[in-house]
Amino acid sequence: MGEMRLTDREIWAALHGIVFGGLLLLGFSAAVGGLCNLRQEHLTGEGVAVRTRRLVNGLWALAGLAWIAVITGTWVIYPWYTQGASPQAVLRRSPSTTAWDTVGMEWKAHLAWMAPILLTTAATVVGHLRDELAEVDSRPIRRALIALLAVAFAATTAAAILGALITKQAAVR
Amino acid sequence: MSGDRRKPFGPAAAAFVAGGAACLALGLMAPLTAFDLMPTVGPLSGQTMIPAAIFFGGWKGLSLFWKERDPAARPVFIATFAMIACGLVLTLPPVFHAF
Repeated sequence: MGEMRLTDREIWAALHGIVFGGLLLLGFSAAVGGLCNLRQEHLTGEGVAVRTRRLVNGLWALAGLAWIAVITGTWVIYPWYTQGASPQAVLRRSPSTTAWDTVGMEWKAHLAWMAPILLTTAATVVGHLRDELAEVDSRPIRRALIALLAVAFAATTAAAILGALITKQAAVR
Repeated sequence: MSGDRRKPFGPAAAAFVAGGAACLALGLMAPLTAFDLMPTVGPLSGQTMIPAAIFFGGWKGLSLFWKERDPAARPVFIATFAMIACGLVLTLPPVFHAF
């Protein structure tokens, strides 16, 4: 029976993509649901306070996860992707796989950084306005926050899909 | 929208605008290779660290400027999402390789 063994690089790649990235993707639905349901007309005063506190904590946790994901991706894994006999060299060797590096990785490496920036923005706004965000006249702000989360989710999803497909072509080992 | 609002919208507006500006900076920095802040990472280090610095610096600066002010939300949202959209388009490799 074969051994199940991961190199240090594979462990870092799994932490980056599956643990940090996976938890981040799971958290988006909770954050959007929390914002959609934060409506004064449907909640008691105590309900608004409890849900707002949960939403602020959740958004800061998501923002933290997103910063950890992009920092490990850029500073830890990306150098392994580019240097020496690397996945980048493997992809560039054949015209049929070059675009995975020149388009796929190039886009992923930049696009992914939008997620922590936009999540930190959302966490800051909710943390500042708190209970007032549930008021009827705050609906435009809630909608803008949901749009921010949608962009952050799209960026995270695109980066995650590209990361998985690039790893399938040439993995960091 | 901000008639009887107790807290000024300024600090929230600062976060929105700083977030949009940082996304735009990500797009504008993408074709630039001169900002190699960390040799092991290469130009990507500058292309990501500078927008992050713009975000935190811009957020802090605008928060101080708008601390007690109540800017209109609509122009803030339009500016923010316009910058995010431009940033998204500019991060596309076929677009930034054209520059």
